[in-house]
Amino acid sequence: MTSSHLTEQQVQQLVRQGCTATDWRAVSIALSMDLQRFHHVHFFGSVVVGDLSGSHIVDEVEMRCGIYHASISNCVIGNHVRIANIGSVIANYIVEDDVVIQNVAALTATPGASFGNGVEVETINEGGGRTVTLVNDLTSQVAFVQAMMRHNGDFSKRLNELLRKHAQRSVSDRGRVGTGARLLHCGSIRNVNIGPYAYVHGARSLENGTINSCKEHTSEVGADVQAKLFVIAEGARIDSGAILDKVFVGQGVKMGKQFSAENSLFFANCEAFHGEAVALFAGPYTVTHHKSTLLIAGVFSFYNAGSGSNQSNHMYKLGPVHQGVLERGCKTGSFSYLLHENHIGPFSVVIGKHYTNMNVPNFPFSYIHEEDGVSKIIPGMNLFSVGTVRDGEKWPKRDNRKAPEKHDLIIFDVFSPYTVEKMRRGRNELLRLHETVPKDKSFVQYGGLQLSRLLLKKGAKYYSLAIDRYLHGKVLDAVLRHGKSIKQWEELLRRLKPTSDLRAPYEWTDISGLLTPRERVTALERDVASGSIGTYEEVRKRFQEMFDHYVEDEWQYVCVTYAAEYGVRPHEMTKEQATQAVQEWEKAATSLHGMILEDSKKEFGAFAHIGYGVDQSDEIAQKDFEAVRGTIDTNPVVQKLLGEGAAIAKRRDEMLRLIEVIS
Amino acid sequence: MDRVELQQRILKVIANVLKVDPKEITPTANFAFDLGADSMQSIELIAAFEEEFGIEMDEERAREVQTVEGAVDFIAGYLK
Amino acid sequence: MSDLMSAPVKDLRPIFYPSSVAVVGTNRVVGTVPHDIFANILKSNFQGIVYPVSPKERSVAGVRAYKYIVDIPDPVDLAVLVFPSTVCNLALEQCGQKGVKGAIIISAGFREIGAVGIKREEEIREIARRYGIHFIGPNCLGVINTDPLSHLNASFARKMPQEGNIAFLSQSGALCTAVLDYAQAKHIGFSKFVSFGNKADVSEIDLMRYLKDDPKTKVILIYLEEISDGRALMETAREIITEAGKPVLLLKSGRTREGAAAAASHTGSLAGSDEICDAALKQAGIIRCSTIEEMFNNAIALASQPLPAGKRVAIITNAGGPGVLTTDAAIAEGLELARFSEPTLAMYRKSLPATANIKNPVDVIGDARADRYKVALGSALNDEAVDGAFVILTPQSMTDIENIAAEVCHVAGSQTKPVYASFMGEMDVSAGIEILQKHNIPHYILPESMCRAFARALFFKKHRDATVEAHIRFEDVKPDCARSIVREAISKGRRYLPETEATQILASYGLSVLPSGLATSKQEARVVAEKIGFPVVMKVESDDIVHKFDVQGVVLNVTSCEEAETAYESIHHHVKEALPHAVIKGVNVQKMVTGGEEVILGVKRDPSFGPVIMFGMGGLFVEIFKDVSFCVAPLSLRDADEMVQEIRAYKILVGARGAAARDLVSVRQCILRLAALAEDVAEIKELDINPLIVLDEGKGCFVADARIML
Repeated sequence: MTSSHLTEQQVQQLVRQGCTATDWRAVSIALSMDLQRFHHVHFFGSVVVGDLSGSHIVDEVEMRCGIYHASISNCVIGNHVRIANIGSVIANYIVEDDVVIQNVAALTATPGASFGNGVEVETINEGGGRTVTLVNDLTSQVAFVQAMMRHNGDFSKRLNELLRKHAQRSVSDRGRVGTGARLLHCGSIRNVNIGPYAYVHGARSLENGTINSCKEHTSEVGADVQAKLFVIAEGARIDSGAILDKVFVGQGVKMGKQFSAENSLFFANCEAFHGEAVALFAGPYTVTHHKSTLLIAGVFSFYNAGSGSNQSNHMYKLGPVHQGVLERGCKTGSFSYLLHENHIGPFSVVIGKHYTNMNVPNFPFSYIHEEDGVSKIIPGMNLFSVGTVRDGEKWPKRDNRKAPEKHDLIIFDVFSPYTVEKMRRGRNELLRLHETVPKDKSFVQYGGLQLSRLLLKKGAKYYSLAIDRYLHGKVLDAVLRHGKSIKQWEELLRRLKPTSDLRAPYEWTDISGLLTPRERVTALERDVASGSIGTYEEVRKRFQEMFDHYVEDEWQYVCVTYAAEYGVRPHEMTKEQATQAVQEWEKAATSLHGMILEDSKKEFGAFAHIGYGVDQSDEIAQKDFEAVRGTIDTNPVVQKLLGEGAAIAKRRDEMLRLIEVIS
Repeated sequence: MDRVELQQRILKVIANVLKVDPKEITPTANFAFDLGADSMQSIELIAAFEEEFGIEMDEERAREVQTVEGAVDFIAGYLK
Repeated sequence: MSDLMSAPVKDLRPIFYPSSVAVVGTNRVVGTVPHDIFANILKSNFQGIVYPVSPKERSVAGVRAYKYIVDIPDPVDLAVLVFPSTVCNLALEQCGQKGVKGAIIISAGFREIGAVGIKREEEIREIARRYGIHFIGPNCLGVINTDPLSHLNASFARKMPQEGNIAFLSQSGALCTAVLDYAQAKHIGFSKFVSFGNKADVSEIDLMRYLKDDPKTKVILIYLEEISDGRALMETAREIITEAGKPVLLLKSGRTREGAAAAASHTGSLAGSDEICDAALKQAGIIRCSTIEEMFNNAIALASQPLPAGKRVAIITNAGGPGVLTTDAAIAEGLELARFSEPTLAMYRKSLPATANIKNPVDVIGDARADRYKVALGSALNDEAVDGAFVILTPQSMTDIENIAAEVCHVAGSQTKPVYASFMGEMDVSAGIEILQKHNIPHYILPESMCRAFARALFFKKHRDATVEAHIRFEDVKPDCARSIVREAISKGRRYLPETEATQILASYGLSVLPSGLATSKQEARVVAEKIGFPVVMKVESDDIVHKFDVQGVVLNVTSCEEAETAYESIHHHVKEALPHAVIKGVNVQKMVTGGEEVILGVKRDPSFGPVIMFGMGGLFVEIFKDVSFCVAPLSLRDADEMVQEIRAYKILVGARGAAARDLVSVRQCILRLAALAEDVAEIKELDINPLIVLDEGKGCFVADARIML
């Protein structure tokens, strides 16, 4: 825009319209400007203003661009901007095109501000020690390794430095309001960068943060929100009285209804309403919807907090140092209570109040409950829960991130090398216990929990079923996939050879949503510690590579594990062995399916439907409400399951046919 | 093994798992209704029977058995 | 009258006011359903005695437990079953032996899971029948009664909702939690709250009939996923509305069985099941809502404010914009802005600032405080020309919201006209809204909801006060004649009756048909045409053709014998070309009537509501204009009148732009006779009269074409 200093005449006009300036020579306005669009504007210091022609619809009324009743200090203002009714001043800001700022108490920036970047969030451990540095494009993977991988001092130090350096890039002498953003009816906004097309309305006070936003997925900060020391990512929605202090809000996160969070991180697609969070690391799809739910000092992902879920940690003389890890897919029931330190395996359900510390990471899909004050675990029970099946299906569908770049890398698979390997370990552990525990004992203590001796073998059996279904299933999937385009069995075997060359294919880890072989993360650790990875971007790139390698890495896992379990390498299978695999697969799949079906019928249907405190949310109830059509003669979940049962037989036939056909 | 002995052993197992007095267990007793077995205990019972008799039962069908005498018949089928 | 209505009202007192309750199948595992149901009853200050029944526990939550319900020494009124469905039969049998008369079966695993469950459900129904037990469920979330005499919470809800005069009945469990949360946030209380699940015994109809006489319930809300017996619903609702003076509001999700899917007739395709449902509910006086929010918006007005005597509203506002919005919304809902009388205007002139707008909507200006609101509202309510008032407030910096709210409550409470309020704004108004809600002033976020609630209150009042009209019966109709034609066709495996037979049936019920004759050769066509007298219309007659115009099977305005012959041939030619396999019975030659208006009359048999009559503007494009109205048979005179007046084109029928008024009296007769036919001949599935030609007043109307689907 071509702007120029004002002529004497122009100054007079502005003065007549109630405007003042500390120095009119420091004020530049676009040449084409209609000066009628400046009323009661008080200029302080240098102010550059673009072409404020046009208008915007604000609160359903068309209002002209321009500056009305505002004090502006040391700002650059773009084109088609409307600024009106500023209580105190807009100071040290760059306001881009098409922005509306109206009825805002104050919008100020201090030179050298970092806008939330670089803020150290004391997550997981209330007393510190697992700090995460906020940056605009923080990902759950980076945050996780920064917080959790503290054993390697060099790595930690370097990573912290990388992040700090990255955060430095946001330091500026001026704040920025991005193109198309709207700030309406807010209180004081200080040192906050606001991204393009963000919609900030009714916020009570915002201090020291960034609201990232983009056209594809605008962010929204609404009524009564108070936030300080924060970074909000694209497409987040925060409203109705949420209170944030040292918080990261990831892409697509929804937060509101007086939810209050302190020293907490929320990654992709989390939902937080009504309750509280302190030192919480909420990986993707962590959901907490209920009043009186407190999540404290814990790591979660794909988690649902039942109403009134609560945890606490010991208050030792040194301050709280204990933490809880609930691996992906866990749920806590209504008014459940956990006493940290805890480590609970993936896809487990916790019901009731527990006053013991639990350590059962290798018993995934478990059902943990309490009877007469005793905490008990039934390993593998959750493999047949309809809820688990539903969850696996729903997460990918509920990925509501629309920004062009999705920060958090997410592998949605419920059954993956990560969970399957845990099941193998769990199974072996259960069998070992079964061998060693005398028959006259009805239970055994393990990891802080009581297991029924009679259920040890059952648990191992359930895990075996799931392992068989996974391994045979994956191999047969590969056969089906490749088999369609080849004619020779030898050619097929060639295609089945794994391409990854991991040294430890069994060791997998879940980096807050990203499932990957541990050695890849160790390599990252090494490279960061040594300095061969020197920028934040390179760290992210590495994670992206891990994500891209998942399928190959998984396949290598499947091959070695298959060989370990059944003595056959998939890429050396004969046709007979493949046929055998089909039969084994069908057996396992049918068994598991049958038990899921039984479970779905037996559960208190209406309660299962609302999850009875385990999966409850207004949104879900509403969706159920919308989705229910026609008659209730048959439970729709049961109907769907019946259909899936038929599909197993169909798939078996398809595979047998294919194997037949290949010579 | 004859039916009487089979039934005796079964009653013992049930009494053990469900923590009830074997004298209170009648042949027509329903596991859930009369003996208070919940779904966890139902699975434990199945496991206990499998252990006692060294058999492996079809779990889906086993779960449909509701009474003591039903269990006797069901298990007898595996011992033939 | 449907079967359900002729049965005696089920005695549900043991369910709602038991002196003792047994929770059968409970246990000690906190967090599970069997335990928590028991705990909830205990925690909510139940006024009677509650017994846990558990096969192996000695006590539950500190209360002595019994192994079987028959072991309980004292009488038990109500049993709540939480055993797995596989053993509910055993449990219910014992309940019967114990002499229990009411039950709530929470357990799932019945009809909703398929064949095995259906059998189980039949079994418990039989047991209940044998012992005379009435039960709610199975597969439900329970029952709540907030009446302090009982204070029963036999449900999943952890907390009792506050006491109120609104009853809520739901078929869906999933919705109940959302509703309880919503109501709590808005300080809305309930009298009774029931999730009735599979309704194997007690249905929503039974519950409605019970609530009709429940002194604690003033408004009845129902959520249904499907309407299984629409006629019973309509009749029950009518009874409740007219005899007990209680409004019935219904929230229905989705659509009923898709009867309209591949409809062959116009009526069939226009009468979508949701349109019929809408019309039927309205006919019965039921207020249909589309969302929970809307249902409660309407309910709070009906529950807490007097009914308006008329539709003249006064709007009091402190900002122009919202006042205008409200005015628009009010007009859109058919309300009227009251015209204040002179004394009221004088009072305003005296007490309000000069800049205030004293005509309706009254703008007391942005700096208004409680005193101005008091005057504005008080005077408006005193005015005879005002039936009700809307109070609107937008927070300005000097607005003393809480005082104004208190003043509004005070003024409203001291007189008998309804007052509704809308305090607009996200932030500052919540305290004021709470005061309103606590004093039973319904509050609305949007003026549209407020006006709609008022309009619904008027709708309810209209139905409540309407005199009951008899359903019309005719002495001169010939049901046997009609039935024999139908049965003859059915015996030959035919499901479609084309024009000749259809008109015969209609004629047997007294509808006027046009002289016509079937011609099977062009010579015959000539003869018949001459006999009838020109002009005539010639139409192909065939079981295989439903839409004659589409295959060029109709020739209008045949004015001579030659034309008759030509028309005969051309019809044959075109039809053979379009549908070579159609069997042509002949060509129907019919007198042509000109100068009349074409309307459509139809019948559709809805699986739930029974025969539904349709009326509307007819012609070829009837499916495009969709200007139709529906009514469920049987009809009264008033019903028939309303059907006619409801369509948009009504104004044409009464004479527009210099055209004469049409014979609506005869149209009404046709509607009523058609309804009688639909009721008498159950085999008629769909019927179209398109067009019915209506001539000027006094000249009658004639069936020009008709067809029937069996």
